[in-house]
Amino acid sequence: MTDKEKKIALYAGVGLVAVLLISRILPKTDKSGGIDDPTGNGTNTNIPGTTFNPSSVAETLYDAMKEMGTDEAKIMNALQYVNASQFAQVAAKFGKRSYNKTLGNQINPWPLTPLPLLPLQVWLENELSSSQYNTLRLKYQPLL
Amino acid sequence: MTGTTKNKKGLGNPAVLAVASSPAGQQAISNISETQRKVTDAGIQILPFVFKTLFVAGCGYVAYRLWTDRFIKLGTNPNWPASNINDAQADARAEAIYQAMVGFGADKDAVAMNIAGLNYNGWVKVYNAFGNREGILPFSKEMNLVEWINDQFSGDDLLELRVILPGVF
Repeated sequence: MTDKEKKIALYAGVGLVAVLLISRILPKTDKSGGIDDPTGNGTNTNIPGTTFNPSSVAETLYDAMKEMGTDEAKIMNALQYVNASQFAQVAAKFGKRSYNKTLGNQINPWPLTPLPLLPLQVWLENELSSSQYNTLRLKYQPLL
Repeated sequence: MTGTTKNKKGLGNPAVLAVASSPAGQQAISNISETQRKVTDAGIQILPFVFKTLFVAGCGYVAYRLWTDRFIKLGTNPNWPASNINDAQADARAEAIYQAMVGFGADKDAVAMNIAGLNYNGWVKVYNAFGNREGILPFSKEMNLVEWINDQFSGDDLLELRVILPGVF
């Protein structure tokens, strides 16, 4: 191996080691982001890029659950960017609405006896699968 | 019975043999052999250059892969609330998430339990503690936590995880 070849091999080896070291040692630092935590689990209440309207979310949930057949994806999408404190507002706006726990809708087979008025928590527990409800419980405990 | 005429080709053709045995033909054949020898010599001479080029290109490729496949740590964001877990908890959660996903099938509930309640900077700690990890198969691609989650879950399961921890994967 000539001197020139040795130099080339040396440069290639040093370059390789340098790339390896730099890639392992130097971390990239994320400096992006505004004042709000995107997870909704920070101290701030707004999730960036979303507008929160508790009435709108409550009506979306009601629309997804009031008929036969629940639109579960619609419920999960509606609650994706709703944090715990916001969920409390949604539950308050939802209030208590007539609900047939047996049939899972608002059909009343006994017209002389009105359906019981039940809160959002009961609606969700009956309309969602146990997996989905547990997911919401993880996010919104102790509200659910 | 009818007679047939065969066309003789190649060395079976007397005309070709006549040309090949002539001085001019012999000279042409000699020239061809010489050309072939020169080509072979040139090929042998170029081999070291090819090997060196391949070596340098190989080193470059390895360096390129090391650079592009490296784990890029996320930095905590000082604009947002401080992490709500410590380093030991982040390590434990990262390991639990990995165990829930590695191998056949993935335990969505276990992953959900371990990302629930994290704020952004807490997520950063878990993400960095997870690093790049390879699958159960040898030489499988190393992936970071976001890549693992998107690889292991889809549809409703992925949506549920995004409900628990929105805005990060």
